[in-house]
Amino acid sequence: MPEKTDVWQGTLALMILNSLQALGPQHGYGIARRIEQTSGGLLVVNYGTLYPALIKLEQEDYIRSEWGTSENNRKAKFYRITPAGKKHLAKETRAWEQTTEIMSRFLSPAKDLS
Amino acid sequence: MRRARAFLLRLRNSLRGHDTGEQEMRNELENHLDLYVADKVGSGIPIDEARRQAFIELGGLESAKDAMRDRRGLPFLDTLARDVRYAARTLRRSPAFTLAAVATLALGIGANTAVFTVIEAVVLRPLPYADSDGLVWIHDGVTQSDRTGWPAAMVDYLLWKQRAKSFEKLAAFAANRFSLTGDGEPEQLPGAAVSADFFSMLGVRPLVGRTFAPDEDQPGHTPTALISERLWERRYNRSPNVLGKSIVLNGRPATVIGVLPAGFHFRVREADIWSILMLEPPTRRGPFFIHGVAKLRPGVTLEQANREMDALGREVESKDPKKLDRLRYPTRPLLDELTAEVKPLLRVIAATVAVVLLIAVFNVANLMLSRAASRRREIAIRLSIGASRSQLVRQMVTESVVLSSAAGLGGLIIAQLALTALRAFAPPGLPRLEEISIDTGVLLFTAGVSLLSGILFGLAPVFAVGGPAVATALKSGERGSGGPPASQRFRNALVVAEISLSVVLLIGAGLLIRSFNLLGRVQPGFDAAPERLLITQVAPSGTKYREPQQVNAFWDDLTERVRQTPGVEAAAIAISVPPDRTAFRDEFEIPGRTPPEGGPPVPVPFVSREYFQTFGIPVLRGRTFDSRDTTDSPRVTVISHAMARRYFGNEDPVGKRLKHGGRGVNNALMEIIGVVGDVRYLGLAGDVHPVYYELSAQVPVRTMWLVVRTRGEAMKMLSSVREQIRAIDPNVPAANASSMALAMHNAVDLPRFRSSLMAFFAIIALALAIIGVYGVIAYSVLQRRKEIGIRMALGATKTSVARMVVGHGSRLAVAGVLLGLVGALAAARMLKSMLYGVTETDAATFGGVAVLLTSAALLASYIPARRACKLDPLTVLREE
Repeated sequence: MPEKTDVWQGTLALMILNSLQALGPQHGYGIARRIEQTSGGLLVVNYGTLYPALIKLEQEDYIRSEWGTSENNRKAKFYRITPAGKKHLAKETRAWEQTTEIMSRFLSPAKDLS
Repeated sequence: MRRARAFLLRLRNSLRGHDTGEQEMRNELENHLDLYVADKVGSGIPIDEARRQAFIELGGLESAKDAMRDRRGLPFLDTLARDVRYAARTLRRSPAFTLAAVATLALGIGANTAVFTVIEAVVLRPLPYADSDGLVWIHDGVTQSDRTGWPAAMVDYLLWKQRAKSFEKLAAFAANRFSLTGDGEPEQLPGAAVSADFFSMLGVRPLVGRTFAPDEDQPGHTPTALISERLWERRYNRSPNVLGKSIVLNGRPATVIGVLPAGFHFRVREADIWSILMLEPPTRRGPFFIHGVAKLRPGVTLEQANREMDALGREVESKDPKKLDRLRYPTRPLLDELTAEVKPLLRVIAATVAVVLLIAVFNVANLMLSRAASRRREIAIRLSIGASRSQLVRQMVTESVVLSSAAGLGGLIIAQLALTALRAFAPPGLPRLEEISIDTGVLLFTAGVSLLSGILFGLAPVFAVGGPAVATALKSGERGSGGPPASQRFRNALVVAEISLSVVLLIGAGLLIRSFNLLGRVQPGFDAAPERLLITQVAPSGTKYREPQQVNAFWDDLTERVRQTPGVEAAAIAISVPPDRTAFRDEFEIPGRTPPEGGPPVPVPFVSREYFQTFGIPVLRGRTFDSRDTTDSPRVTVISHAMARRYFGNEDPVGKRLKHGGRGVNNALMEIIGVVGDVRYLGLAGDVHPVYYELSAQVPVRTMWLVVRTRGEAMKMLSSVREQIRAIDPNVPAANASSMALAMHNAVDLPRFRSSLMAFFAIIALALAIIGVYGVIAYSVLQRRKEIGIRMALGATKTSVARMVVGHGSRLAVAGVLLGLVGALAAARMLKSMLYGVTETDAATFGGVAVLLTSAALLASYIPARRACKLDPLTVLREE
């Protein structure tokens, strides 16, 4: 099984936004779980990187937070994506898709380019 | 945009503090941990194993909190705040050091701030008039004289007005003194006469009323005038009735049409009267009293304007080439014109205070080094718990910046005091005095200088031993063998630098002081004792003095009465008095020569018969004015020795003719009746000008100086003299009363100011340098105690120990002095224009300063030397 690698900073933000869009309001642990699941267990979310990323996204007004109660009956902070966040996610997703398409052309075995 | 929002939020969090945030962070993280563990347990892993895995996979709680904290706030600010608090604590613990450092630096920073404020307000800031960078100043440049900037004549002004195309607007300006009569107490007031478009050109709006209308300066109009707000308040109680009021200025009626705001000023300090300058068609070339103020047409450069004015000058010259040789109309930017005289001095002072600050910084750097050495234990501890070298350096720099910021605040206070004193003292050569004040530019400058100084001496330990070795050097301390040699060498270098810099300043001050002394000893040319000569300006005006005989009668009456007053030995009147109160200059021509010879405008004092006797001016040939010369007798003149020598050589001028005012229809031909000794009328410096005197009775003038030679002290007679004036006519103002001694004292105001200022700073520099020497030597003795103890134990005598210490001091002194002498040779060139009677390489001054500084340094070494001798070898060696 390939090594579990730490998630990169820039992409982590997009993953968080993606998760929130899919799951709706969620707390930090839930987001981490979702990211790990979506990556098929290949990514590990260290909460030393997750929470700073959440703070940054909130400062940039892509997500909003409010206090609620989690499954284990504790007070927890729930995060929600904002309309601006949705727009940002859509834009960045398009950019990523374009990048991956270009890169795959270069990196895959030479095909008939006609 | 989002990044800005994020940044501002982080800033707010950082400033607000972290308490609520901490609690929330802990909650979130613990929650996450709990859920994680719960999940693992739920999938069958035992709780302890789950916990262990949690820590491995999730990372440490504390480091997560650190990462969050860094993201929430601005870690840079947090570290800074922490360093500053720590620095403040450390500084508080050693109050002596802190006080000494802050005081020294505040003085240096304050001086620099004050000088910068002056430079900024006087030289750098644009003038406070509309479109001021297009404003130019035009004058007569008859280049035979040693001074340019001579005033032009009405003829010239009218020519410019008619012909010069380079200017959008052109106005005439003539500074003047006005006697105000006709409504209440007579007064003499400073001011100027200007042409009609002067105020509109400068964009000046009156406070009340209006400024001049476009044609108000043409003959046929009633003269009008504006007054200052200050005068309006003082004399008229701000009454609106002042508009339309009829006053009498210098004997001519004028109508007040407006009041100028207090913020307005133009070349004349505290000007109260701005009267219209009537452009009366001139009958001859002189008198010379007008300057042109003009605004360049858009698109016209200064060079183009000068070329046009040059051509005009040449055209006028061609009409009379011998006399008007090289007549030009130099045109300069107004700001340059105002500041040209004062710029060299400002440059010198700016350099001086920068040097003083540098010496102060060096001193504090030395202090910092001593302090760093004594904090080695603290540094060692910090290093051992993980502080990095850069953190240590950052801490030291923060400490120094805190120090220098405190000094910066102190410096601002000092600067403000200094500027208040400057404004009160009002040195004569300083233009735009009214505009000097501390503004945001100055505050930024002070902040910058403080920061820079702080960084400089904060990095001193780094410079002393070189970067990476700082930590080890600081840790190992400087016990025993006198410390790491690099550090000692650095200190020595600092002190040598200080000494050499103060040598340069002291030599500068010495040269200026000697110039001032020599200038003060210049003989004005008369023998009467200056403290027994009273002078006061008297200005009869009004309808009573319209006719020349009325004016003459007044003067005769006045001088006779004053002469009869007990305590008076002699009295006379004159339009100009020595050493520098010249009211009137004119040209002249010596007819009967081929080609006809003439001269540039020279002082032409109109004097009464008793003038030469009152002043005690020696008569060298012929006679002076006496009862033979009256209003009806032929015009006569007395010339000065310099004039006789230059224009008559070895011939006897007596009996020859002189035409005043140069070529012109109405110019009188005068007979030269005598030659008198040279008297200075244009200041004490420079060569003596040729002068020719005319008899006041033959050219009656209404503003004259009354000169009284008294038996006792001059000023004591002032009230009696005033009595006599009032007895004849209470409406005649008398002003500017002083003794000749005071006038001569004031004539050297600027050189006195210059030399005092330089001396002040030079002495501060000397004191700082000597303290620096003392500090280094004393410290070195302290460090070498063990070595000295050993030497003494092995048989060295007290004298040899003392010699060792003083030898150290003398080596520093000699190096510093030599370096300083070399530096002074280069730097003294800046003073060239300000010296009188000494060259900039004056050996006596250089030698004197060298001796002074060496002895001072030796003296400073003496005290530590004595302490070294007193050391008891046993005690010292037993020390740990």
